[in-house]
Amino acid sequence: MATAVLSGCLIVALFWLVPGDAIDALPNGPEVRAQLQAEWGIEGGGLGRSLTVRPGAPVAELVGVALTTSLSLLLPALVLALTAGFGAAVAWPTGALGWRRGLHLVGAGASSVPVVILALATVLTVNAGTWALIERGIVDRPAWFALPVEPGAMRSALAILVLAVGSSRWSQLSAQARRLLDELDDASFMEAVRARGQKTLRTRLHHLVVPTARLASEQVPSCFAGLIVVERAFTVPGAGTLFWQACSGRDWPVAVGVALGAALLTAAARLVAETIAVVVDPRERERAA
Amino acid sequence: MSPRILLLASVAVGACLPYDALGDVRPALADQGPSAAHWLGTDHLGRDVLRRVSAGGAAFCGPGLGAAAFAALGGTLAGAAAGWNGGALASVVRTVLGAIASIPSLVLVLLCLMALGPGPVQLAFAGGLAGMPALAAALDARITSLRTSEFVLAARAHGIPPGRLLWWHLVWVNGRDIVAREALAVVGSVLVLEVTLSYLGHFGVAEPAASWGNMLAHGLSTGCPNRWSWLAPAGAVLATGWATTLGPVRR
Repeated sequence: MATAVLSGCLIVALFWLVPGDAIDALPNGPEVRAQLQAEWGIEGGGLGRSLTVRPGAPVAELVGVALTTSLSLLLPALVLALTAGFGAAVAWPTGALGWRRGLHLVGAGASSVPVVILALATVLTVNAGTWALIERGIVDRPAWFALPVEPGAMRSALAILVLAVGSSRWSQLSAQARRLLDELDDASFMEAVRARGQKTLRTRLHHLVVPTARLASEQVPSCFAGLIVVERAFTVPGAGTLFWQACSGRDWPVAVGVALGAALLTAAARLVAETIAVVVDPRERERAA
Repeated sequence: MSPRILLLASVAVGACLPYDALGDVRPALADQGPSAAHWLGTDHLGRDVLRRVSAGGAAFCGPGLGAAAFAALGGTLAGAAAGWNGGALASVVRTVLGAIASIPSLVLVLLCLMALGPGPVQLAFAGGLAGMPALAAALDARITSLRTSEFVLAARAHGIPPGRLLWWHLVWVNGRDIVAREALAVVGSVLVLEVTLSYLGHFGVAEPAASWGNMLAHGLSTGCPNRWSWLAPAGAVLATGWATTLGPVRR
C-alpha cells in the first residue's frame, strides 16, 4: 500500500514539473481560468477531464475502459509467459551442462529482442507470408488481412504472443522456475514425502503456488511498458495507446490517470501475490502476524 | 562480443567513411541497393545507410553511458545506505525504490521526458532513474548478507573505520561486479528505450539526426525499396542488445 501511495505521489510530482499550462496559452486565459477549470473538472476532485485526446470526457471513465481492454491482452500474456517459463524449466535437460547453458543462452537471446522489433517483424512476416500464399492461390484472402488494420482474434492472438515473448523476460522466468524446482527437489520435506512413498506432485504444486504468484506480479510493470508498443503496433485501443496519445498531445490529466492506473495495477498484483502467500504458507502467516 | 567493441567499431566505421550522416542529401541516389560506393545502399534521401547506422551508434553512446553512470551512482549510494544501516532508513529507501520500480519503465521515462522535455541528457536521467532500483536492490542484498560475516566482524575488531569498511571492502571489493553488471543492463535498456521512443516519435531522436530507432521507423513506414535501410539498424540494435545481455548470462 505504501508503494502505491508513494508511486502515485511521484507521478503527480512529475506532472507539477511539466512546463506550460493549457489555460495560460489562451489569449484571455486569466479571465476565463475559473470558468474553464470548472468546465474541465480540473479543480473539482477526481482525475478531471481530458484536454486533447477526447476533450471533455471524464478521465476516470476513459482510463477504466482502456485498462479493461489492456487487461484482456496483459492477463493472457502473463499466463502464457508463466506457462512457457515453467514448461521450459520442467523440460530443462538435467544432465549435460553444455545443453543447459546453450538453452539458457538461446532463451536469453530470444527474450532480449526489443518488443518494438519483435512486433514490427511479426506484422511484416505474417503479412508478407500471407500475401505470398494469396498470390499463389493457396489460400483465399483471410478476414484479418492485412495486419494491423483489421481487428479480430488473429490480431489479438499475435499481440498477446508478442507481449508474452518480448516483455515478460521469460528466459529469466524459466531460470528462476528451474532454480525453484531444484531447491524444492533438494528440500528435506520432499525427501520425507518420498520416503513415505507418497506422490510428490501435490506437495510440489502446493509449494510452487507462492513463488509463481510472486513471479507473475514481478512481470506486471515490464508487461505494461510493452503494452504501449504492442498496442501501437497492432492498433489496439487500450491503456498503452491512450497513454501515448496523452503524452504526445500533452493531455496531462489522462497521462496522470493512466500512469496512476499502471502503478495501482502493479501494487494490486503484489498485494494479490502477498495475500496468496499469507493464505497458502503458514510460515508467511506467522511472519505477517 | 563486447558492447565496447561494437560501439568502437561503430564510431570507427563512421570516421572512415567519406560521407556526412546529415548533410549528404542527394535525391538522385535515393533508394539504391548495396554497391561498392555505398556498402548498405542509400535511404529515401540518398544518404549513405552505413554512415547513418554508424552515426546512430555514436548518438546512443551519450545517453546510454550517462544513464549507466547515473544509475550506478544513485543505486550504489541507496543500496549501500540501506544494506549497511538496516532498520528504519533501509525501510524508507526500499519503499521509495519500490515505488519507482512499480511504475513501468517506459511510463516513467515518458513522464520524465514530458516534464523535462526531450533530449539526450533528459533521456540519460530518465533511463538512469528507471534502472536505479534494480541496481540498488542487488547491492543492498549483497551488503546485507555480508554485514554480519566474519571478515567484517574481524575488520571491525581491528579498528578499520566504518567508511573504509563499507566503501572499500564491501562496495568495491565485494559489490563492484553487481554494480558493473546492473549498469551494463541499464545501457541495454536505454538502447531499447531510445529505439522505442524514436519509433513511436515525438520524444525520440528526430530527423535529420540519425538514430537506429528513427531509421527503422522511417525505413518501414515509407516502404523503402532498399531493405538494408531498416534491416541494418534492426541488426545493430539486436547485436548491441545481445552483447549487453548475453555477456553476463554467459559468464
